Amino acid sequence: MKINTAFKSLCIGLLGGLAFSVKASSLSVTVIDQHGQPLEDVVVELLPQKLDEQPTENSSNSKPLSHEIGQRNRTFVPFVSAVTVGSEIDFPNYDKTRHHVYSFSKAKTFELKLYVGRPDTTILFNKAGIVSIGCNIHDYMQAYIYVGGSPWLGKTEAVGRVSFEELPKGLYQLNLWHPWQREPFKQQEMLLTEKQKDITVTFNIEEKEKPSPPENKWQELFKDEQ
Amino acid sequence: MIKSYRGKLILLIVLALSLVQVGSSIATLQVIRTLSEEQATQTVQVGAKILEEVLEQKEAQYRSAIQVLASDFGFKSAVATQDRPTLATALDNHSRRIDADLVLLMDNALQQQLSAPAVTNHDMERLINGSQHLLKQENAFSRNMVINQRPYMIVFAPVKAPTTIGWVGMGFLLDRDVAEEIKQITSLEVGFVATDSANANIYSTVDESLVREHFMSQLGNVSQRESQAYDAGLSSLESDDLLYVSELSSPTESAKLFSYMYVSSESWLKRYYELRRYQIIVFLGVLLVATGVAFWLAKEVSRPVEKLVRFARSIGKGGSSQPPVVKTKELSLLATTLQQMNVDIKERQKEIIFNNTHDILTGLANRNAAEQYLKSLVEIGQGTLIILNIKKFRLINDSIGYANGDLILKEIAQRLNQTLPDGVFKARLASDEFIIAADYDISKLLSNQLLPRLQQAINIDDSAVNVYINAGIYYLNNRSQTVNDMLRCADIALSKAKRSTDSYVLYQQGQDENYQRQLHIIGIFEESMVDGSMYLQYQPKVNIKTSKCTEAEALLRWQDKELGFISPEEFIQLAELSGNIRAVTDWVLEEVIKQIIVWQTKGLSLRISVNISVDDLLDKDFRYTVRSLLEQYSVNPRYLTFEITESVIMSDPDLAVESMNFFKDLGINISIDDFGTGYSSLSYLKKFPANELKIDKSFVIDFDSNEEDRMIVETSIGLAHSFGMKVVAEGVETEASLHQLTKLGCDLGQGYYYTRALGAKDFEGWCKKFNRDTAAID
Repeated sequence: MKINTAFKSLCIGLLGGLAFSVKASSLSVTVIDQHGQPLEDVVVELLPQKLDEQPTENSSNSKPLSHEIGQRNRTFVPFVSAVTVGSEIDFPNYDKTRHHVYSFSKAKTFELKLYVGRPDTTILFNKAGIVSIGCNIHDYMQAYIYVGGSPWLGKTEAVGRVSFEELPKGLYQLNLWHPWQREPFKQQEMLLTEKQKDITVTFNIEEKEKPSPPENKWQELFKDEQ
Repeated sequence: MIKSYRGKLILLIVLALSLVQVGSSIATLQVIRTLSEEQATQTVQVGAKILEEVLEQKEAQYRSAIQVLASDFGFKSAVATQDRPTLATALDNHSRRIDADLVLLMDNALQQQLSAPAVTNHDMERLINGSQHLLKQENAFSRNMVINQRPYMIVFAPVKAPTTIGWVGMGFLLDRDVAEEIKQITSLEVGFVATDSANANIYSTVDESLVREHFMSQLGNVSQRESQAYDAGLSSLESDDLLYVSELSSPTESAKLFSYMYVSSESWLKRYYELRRYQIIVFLGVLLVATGVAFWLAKEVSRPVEKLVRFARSIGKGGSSQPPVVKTKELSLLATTLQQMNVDIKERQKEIIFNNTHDILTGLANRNAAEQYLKSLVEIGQGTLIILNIKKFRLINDSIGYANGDLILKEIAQRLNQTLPDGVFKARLASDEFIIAADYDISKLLSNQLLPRLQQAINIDDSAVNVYINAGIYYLNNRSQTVNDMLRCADIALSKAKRSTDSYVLYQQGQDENYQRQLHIIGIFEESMVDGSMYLQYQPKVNIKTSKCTEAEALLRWQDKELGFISPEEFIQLAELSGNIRAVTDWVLEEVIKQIIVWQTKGLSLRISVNISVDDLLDKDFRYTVRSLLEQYSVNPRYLTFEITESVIMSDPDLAVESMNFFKDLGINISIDDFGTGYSSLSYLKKFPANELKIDKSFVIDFDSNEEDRMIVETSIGLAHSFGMKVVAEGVETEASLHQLTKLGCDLGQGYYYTRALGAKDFEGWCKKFNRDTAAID
């Protein structure tokens, strides 16, 4: 263990020397499940520990920007959102039915009572944490918002990959989150020195279907209403 | 034991009916009981199903009610914000609305937040542990379980916002009200039981003490065994009550919750008991009727039997009452048979009585009747008894056959009946022996009328058979004699008549003693031949011309230990009379043959003469005896001479000649003995196939002094020689006689001049010496 730590320090020292000569890296994180299948909707957060470079203008993946979680066909889209602290999220209703969006999560408690179209206000998420949102009208509607403190935050696409560009070299803590995870991800240290790095992480989750509206018995009747 | 047929019949009928009745009753009752039990079982099983249904319905109701609560936004908000005062009132309000007996709220870490009444940590632990998989589903679920030692159905629903932030539960006590509700539907007694390791709380529609013991005993089992092993299902309690237990709690629970359906034995066995009561009444009725019928029937059967018994008894006593009238076919047949038997028995009795006193062949009285009659004579001490006998009846039988012999006996009987007056008793004693008797003298009747009539020729198959009758007469003149004495005396007279020329002989005093001696002699014949008291002597027959002894005559002697010397004349006659003569002759012949062989081995070749009696000669069996003896000893027959007296030949000349020819053909010499004493005519002499003629010693002894005798001897010698026979002279006693005989050309001489008869040993010595001496003279 001592040797390992010493080796690491040495490496950092060497990298430090190199840092000025090489500018920023790109990182690609691929998450697969226990069966080796690519995993979608995994939130990947890189928590900087000791950066060797200053972040550039464009190095943040998600700035505190306004985001949107729409309700389409009685489903929250997207299912998982990853936003940095201070982001605002709009909850436009694209259905004909009204929705009553709420959250009792500690990170953000809010309620958007029965509305159609775009609500009057966006919701500000100024506290890191996980917010689970639902609809009081449609119990099966579910969505998650990961409010992260790090600017390097993203979620995997359908192919299970998320990419970070112009990432300052240095030491990071890698954190992963998914609503179906069996247990919290054990954060890993990651030393970023090379220009381009691809890593693959295995994440154990419970396999479920994404929430979707149940078959409506009165579909014919309400066809026009939806 | 009951012995009478009637009693047995009654017993049998009653027993058989009882057996059938009891058997069928038991079978019916058994079936009814089984059916009732099956029905009751089915009923409780259906009841148990209904109970299950009812509980499911309730559960569905409660579940939807609690889901309504769990999805209430306000409630969710209260749970999320952990607003305890609000939660408490909300839960209270809702539990009242759905009539819950217990409320429970847990956070999403499954920690108890609120509960009323308070749930112990232990029960909580059981609840959580037993519901793990259900909780994971995050859907509403229900559990039947024991909480606070009471039976509950608890319904849980997750509080979702939208992720599960807690669980709300409502418990409903499965108490007597629920049981009553189910009883309303099933009409069965229902109960719920909450058990833990030590106790059982029972909520029942019936007195719980009826089932408590069952569950308590099960508790004991639970502690000893795996909790899973708890017995559910149908069981029969000691009182025949049926109990159908279903386990409502999950099998892994340590505190069990049961429901049960209960049927009391009274209710499910009601019809069985009713039927049993009826069966007993019916059985008693049938028994009563059967006994009555049996008595009547037995009487019907036994009355005619008793009548027949009385009838049979009267037959036994020889009575002749009319057979009883009986209606039954079989018994009527028996009555008729008894009557017929009665008639038959009487007929047979007559026959037996007749046979007992009558001779079957002739119809005359038999020996039994004769003895009875003679007894009556003895009693009055006077009368005549005559025994009649047909002379030589055996020979007649042999020659004309037994069937014809019987005809002769019948004819004799008929003649007796015809000739004699009614006052004379007539009987047949044995084969050819008849008696006639009367209480007066009938000897004149015999001699004047009966004998002439009896001795008339009898016509058999168109040929006349002459019968001669001998008769012995005995006069009874005192009362001191027995019937046997009378018969014996008459028999002695008869024997004498047989030996005499007279047809009848009157018994005289003293004849009896002689008769006893003769009987004794006859009795010891056989043993005498064996024990040596009967023996042979030999008298030489000497060739007069050569003066050589070449032949001898075997003479039978009898020296008895008690009687002393018995003369041959006496015992030969007795042997002939008693029928022993054949045995005697056979014995003599065998002894002689053995002697011939003995002498031949000693170089003494002698021809030995044996006297043959009339019975021997006329018996065809004798021929075979002779032939087999010759073969047995391989002796040359020419060493044998048969001496046959002239009178013997004349008793049946034709048969005698036939036999003589047979023996001559065998090679045996035939000698005519005692020639001159009989009545043979010359024409017969011509026919005799004899080799030798023996002149009777009565002519020889005095013939040198008696001119007539001398002439007879001379004529006889000439006659014999002319027929080619040798001549033997008996009674040679003097040299003068011998001299005369030599002159007359006689061939052989025999007599005291040479020697008297000698035993075998002495004779042998004499013979050797004589032949040597005469040879020396020559």
